[in-house]
Amino acid sequence: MKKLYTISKFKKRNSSRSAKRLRNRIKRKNKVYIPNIGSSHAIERKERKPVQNIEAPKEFSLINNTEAVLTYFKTAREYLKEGFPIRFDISKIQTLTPDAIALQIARIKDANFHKNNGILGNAPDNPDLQQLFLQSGFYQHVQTKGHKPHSKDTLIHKVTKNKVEPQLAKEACLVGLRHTFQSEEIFDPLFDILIEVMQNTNNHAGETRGEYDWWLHIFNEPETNVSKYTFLDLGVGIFESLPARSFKRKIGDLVGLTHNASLIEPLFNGEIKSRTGRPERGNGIPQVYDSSKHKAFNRFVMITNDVYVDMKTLEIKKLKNNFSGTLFYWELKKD
Amino acid sequence: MEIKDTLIIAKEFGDTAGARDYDDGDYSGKEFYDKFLLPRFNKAVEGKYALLIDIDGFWGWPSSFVSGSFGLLSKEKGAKIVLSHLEFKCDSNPMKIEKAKYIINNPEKK
Repeated sequence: MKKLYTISKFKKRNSSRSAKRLRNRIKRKNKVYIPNIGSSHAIERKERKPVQNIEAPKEFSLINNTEAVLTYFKTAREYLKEGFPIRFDISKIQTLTPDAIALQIARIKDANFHKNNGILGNAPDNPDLQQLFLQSGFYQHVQTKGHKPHSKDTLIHKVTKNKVEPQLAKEACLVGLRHTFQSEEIFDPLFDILIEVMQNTNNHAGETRGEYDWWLHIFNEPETNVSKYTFLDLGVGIFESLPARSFKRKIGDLVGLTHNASLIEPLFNGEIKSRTGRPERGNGIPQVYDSSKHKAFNRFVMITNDVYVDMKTLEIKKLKNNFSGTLFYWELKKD
Repeated sequence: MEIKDTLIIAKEFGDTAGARDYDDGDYSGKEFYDKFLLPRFNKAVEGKYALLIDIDGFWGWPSSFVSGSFGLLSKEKGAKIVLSHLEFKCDSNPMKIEKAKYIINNPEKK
């Protein structure tokens, strides 16, 4: 049967509902909302901290100005750890080498470094350095508003599977050999170095195998026939790796090791064995050292933990700042 | 001993050397040992002939690869029998032959 809503029973009910809705609307309108107070799941609103400008040293080169560049990254790390966004300010630099660019890319991409805080950056004001910076391939690895400059003479590769990559090593050889020697002929010392440094990262950069990525950067200087290679990982560094720590425990107390610089000789002689302790292992770095003697390598540098070593001259520097990781830099040059 | 078989590494295995073990990535010395070196070496021993290892055209000869293949073969079979059944060819870089023979003679040394 059809309901007759005009009868007093329904009029009374509808008036009552209407009044209740009106009361609720007024209540809602006057309510002061204070979000999440007293809630166990309260999310504190994060206060945005001001961007900290970290000015790069005028000589922006890890291989030539090691302490200052390490201080630059250390300062950045401290701000990021405190939750500040930072700006890598390289606008005022006067010299620049590719190893510093490679390290800056690796740091920017390293989650342990940026801690999910923003990293801004700029390019050098100096036109020549700006050109070098644009050609370095840096912009292939960062976000930028403008177009990404093309870098035809550069190879930057980050390996995330943490493995030895022979085909990439071959490609990396060819990139340099074509530029330096105008040749694609096999050059074993260069290839062997790449395989051994990749394996060193795979086996020794962390507590477990393959814990850290490695980065390979090759820069072919357009105006010369020099190819500049940078290989780096941001692991624990050679002297904090398990084999070196074990060696220090066994031998260090006997001979009174006071600084990691004393370990360079046993490292290059193959006395610091791999984590397996098997005698045929642990020959990777000695092979890199042997191969570095080849005359085609104009310069060969290793930086790890608190030690800098020029592998061509065996000049060793003790560093005040620790470099957590291992970096090899070498130049391939025609006689 | 007469050579009756030739293993051209760059053609049959691949043109690049990797590191030591499978865990290290592709083209490892252990992979070369398992798939090519050991089976062909065993056939050579059974047939009483020499196996020629042709290294030309192969990128690299890192210690970890050579130790993980020829060093392992030497440890398993003994240096004397390995050297009697293997011959090497590398016109582009004869140092590679010296290195392989050194590691076969000293499979557990640096």
